[in-house]
Amino acid sequence: MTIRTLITAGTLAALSATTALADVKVGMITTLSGGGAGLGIDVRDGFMLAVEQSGRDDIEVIIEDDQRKPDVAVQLADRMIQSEQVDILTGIVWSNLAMAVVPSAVAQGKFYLSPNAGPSALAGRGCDPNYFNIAWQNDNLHEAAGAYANDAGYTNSFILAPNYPAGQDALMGYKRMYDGELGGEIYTQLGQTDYAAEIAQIRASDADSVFFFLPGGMGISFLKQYADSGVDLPVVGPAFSFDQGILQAVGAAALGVHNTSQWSKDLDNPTNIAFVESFQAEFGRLPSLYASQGFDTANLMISAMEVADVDDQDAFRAALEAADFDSTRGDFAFGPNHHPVQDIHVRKVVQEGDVFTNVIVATALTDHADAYAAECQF
Amino acid sequence: MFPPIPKSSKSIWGADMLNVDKIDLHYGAAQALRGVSLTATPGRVMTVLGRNGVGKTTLLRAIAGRNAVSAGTIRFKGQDVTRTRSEARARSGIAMVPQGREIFPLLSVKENLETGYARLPRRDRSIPDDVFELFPVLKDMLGRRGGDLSGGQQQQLAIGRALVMRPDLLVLDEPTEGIQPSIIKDIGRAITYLRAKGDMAIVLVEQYFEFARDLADDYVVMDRGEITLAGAAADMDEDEVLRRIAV
Amino acid sequence: MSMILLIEQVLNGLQFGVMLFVMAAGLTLVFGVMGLINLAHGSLYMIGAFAAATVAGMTGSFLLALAASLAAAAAAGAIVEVVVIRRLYARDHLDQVLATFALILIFSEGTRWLFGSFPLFLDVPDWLRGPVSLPGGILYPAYRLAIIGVGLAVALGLWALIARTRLGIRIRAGESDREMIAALGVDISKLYTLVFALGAALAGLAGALVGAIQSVQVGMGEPVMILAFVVIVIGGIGSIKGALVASLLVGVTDTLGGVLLPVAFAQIMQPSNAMLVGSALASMLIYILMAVVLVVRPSGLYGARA
Ligand SMILES: Nc1ncnc2c1ncn2[C@@H]1O[C@H](COP(=O)(O)OP(=O)(O)OP(=O)(O)O)[C@@H](O)[C@H]1O
Ligand SMILES: [Mg+2]
Repeated sequence: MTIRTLITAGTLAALSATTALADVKVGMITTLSGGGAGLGIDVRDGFMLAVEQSGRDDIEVIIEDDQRKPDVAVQLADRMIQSEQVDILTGIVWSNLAMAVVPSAVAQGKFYLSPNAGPSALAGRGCDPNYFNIAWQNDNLHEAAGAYANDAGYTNSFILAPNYPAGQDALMGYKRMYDGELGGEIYTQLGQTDYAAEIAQIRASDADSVFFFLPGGMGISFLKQYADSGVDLPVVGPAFSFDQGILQAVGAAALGVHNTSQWSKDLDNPTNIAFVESFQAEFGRLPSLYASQGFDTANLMISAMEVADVDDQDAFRAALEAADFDSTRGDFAFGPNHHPVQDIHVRKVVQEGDVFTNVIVATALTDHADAYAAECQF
Repeated sequence: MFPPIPKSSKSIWGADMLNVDKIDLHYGAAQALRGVSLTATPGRVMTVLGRNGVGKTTLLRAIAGRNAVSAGTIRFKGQDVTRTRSEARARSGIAMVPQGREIFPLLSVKENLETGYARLPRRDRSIPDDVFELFPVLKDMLGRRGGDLSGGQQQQLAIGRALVMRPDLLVLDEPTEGIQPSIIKDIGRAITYLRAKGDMAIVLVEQYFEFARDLADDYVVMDRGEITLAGAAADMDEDEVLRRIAV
Repeated sequence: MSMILLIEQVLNGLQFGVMLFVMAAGLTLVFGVMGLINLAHGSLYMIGAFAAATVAGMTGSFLLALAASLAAAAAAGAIVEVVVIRRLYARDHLDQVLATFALILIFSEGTRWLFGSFPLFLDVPDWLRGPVSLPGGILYPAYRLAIIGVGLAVALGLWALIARTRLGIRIRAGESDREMIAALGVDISKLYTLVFALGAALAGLAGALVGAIQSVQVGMGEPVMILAFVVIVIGGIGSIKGALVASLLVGVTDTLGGVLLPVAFAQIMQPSNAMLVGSALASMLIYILMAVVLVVRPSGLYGARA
């Protein structure tokens, strides 16, 4: 069975009530249309690849498109919980959508496995025993960037991010680890596509480095314009703007930039090597960070299914906590708040043939947990 | 006032340039024309008389294709144009000087005149000399915005614009409405001149009886969407016509 | 803030402004001539960018890519006009908004279907890469200067077209009295298709020019679209001249506001708060500008008196 037929089957199952009940029913709500669809598609494809490779036929996945709209995500979640009676929810890419869906889903006794979004609210006071994050807490990669900046000897960073909660968290995360001065700190507009004004300010500042968090198209625009501006300060940022899905669109403008990530396609462990190869074979493109997270999420779930019945919530939760699966990242463990404790690497953008991609050049943080775990009480 | 001119009919489509045959026209449920028939011939002026609201403008709009008829046929140069769209009728040679003039206020006088070029092949795209001979004032105001002209000047511009099209049929809707006597005279002279050239059929809607009578070769009187009296101007019973159009 | 930085920011504002103008010109033309509100104008911007990225990828030529953006957007515009838009002229604005919103969805999903969900690559051509030195020691990207040049050339070309050609006469005449212009023998539907395709081609050109320094992706047209609407409202709906003035005004206001407001707030509050408040206010600035203009001149700067 190919992934495509699996997906079709999943969708058909969602449509027909007569399908026999599978043992574990997963509701995947992710972004498959509109801006940002590339991320959701990668999460989905990574997840379904792991399901397929497990060879299990007792997993039913219902996949729905949230269009990156919180209200749509909430409706989908309600339907999946109430009429489809899924056991596990997963898939959401964006923090604002996660905040809209997760608290009520776990309150209704469902497991939620986050393959991407990791808002601080769900890591600290708002944590929940049934909520697991398999990617990172939102601040993690920014913290790593701050740590890397110290290692690289930067003492005067110019930092910028969009003016919304995740952007503010990003600059906070960077500053949490970074020891130097700030040559400038700018909040841009969410969805902004032109960075000429910011680049002019960078040029006029006496900064020695630039840190930015501009996910999706914003990062593409910034990098292209930065490369063309003649400003040549070193740039560092979280992996989101250097991911496989968008690097081709940035092109040579990203070459040499350092970025932080818990995953990279050249991580040298057997699980990852097999993952990269099989993903490429199945989909004809290199996997991204998001694909690896989707893949790990499914494998975590499968590892728990192997030792516990999903209906026995306590046993299943304990099995998830054990995180007894082969992660594409190598070592992977959960902290007390069900968020990852993991290494975060520094990657560099390189060109391999005519493909732009990343290679690991250093490790910024080892066994790094998040800053909110202490606030979490189950 | 206007000396009679020998009538001629040198059309290659037979006598009639325009042949309107028993047309009906409805505005929604209201019927505005009932079985109206009328012909126009090159070198002759067909005058349409009638009180306010009897359907004169509606008839001209039907001829120009700006409103669709619900019954009857309209033939122009022998062709059935009943269902032809207004721009195609204009292209085949029907020019209209509408009631209220409808000049383009934001365009200059020159540009207003040039809007008449649409049906002309490239080599003919010029403003004919007789337009400026008939209305010298236009020549002096070529650069002025149409909307800045006086009412009388706008009327002359509207006629000039129609003449730029070198039409085979010219329809004029109350060209004297609200115009001072000296300009009315210019307009009358222009119509007389065009008739004398002999290659153009003219349909003139008027309420100014003396003006219409002096220019008419043929006439119809309308009332409530119907033609109630028709004939050659030479045989007109003026008292009867005046009675029918008096308010 | 240094003088050089200020001048550079004004240039940035101008560059942003002229691109907004190229985008808004078609929108205001279509509104002025046909009375149509076309929400899908941003989709034509996207089509231009995708066409340019595709052709640049195939041929490596930026100029061919620009030509392709013009051609593809004009063709898409003409087809949409004939198939959908012309049924909307006689309808009220709400119907137009709904129908053209549906077009956005169709164009977006169609583009995704053809090109996939990942952004495409389109880059500045080699001969315009990097910064140039301007008098006074200002370093400014050559490509952005070129954009300013193209934008001004488009403005000049449009002015010449509207003011000096027969097509321009018809466009202006049709704007005030479409029935009369038809009665003069002008094929109104052809004229409308032409005007629509012209506006579409300009949007496509803007998409391609901007795509080279931004990201070519599905949905890229919508944010610009909103700004273009702000521009035509400020400039006066239907006025090309108004669109030009308003575009430059919006471009410079937005750019300088984003830079100066945080600095200004830093005088009276903590730097990091000033940054947040300043940039929040800066993002509202052009809407405030629009509101002020509408209070003073309800039909926009150069709008026809209502
Ligand atoms: N667009 C329209 N919709 C509905 N009714 C109309 C319309 N235009 C004209 N009418 C009606 O049709 C009738 C004929 O109008 P028309 O304009 O043809 O009269 P007219 O003879 O030209 O009058 P006037 O001498 O005042 O110009 C009138 O009753 C008028 O109210
Ligand atoms: Mg009338």
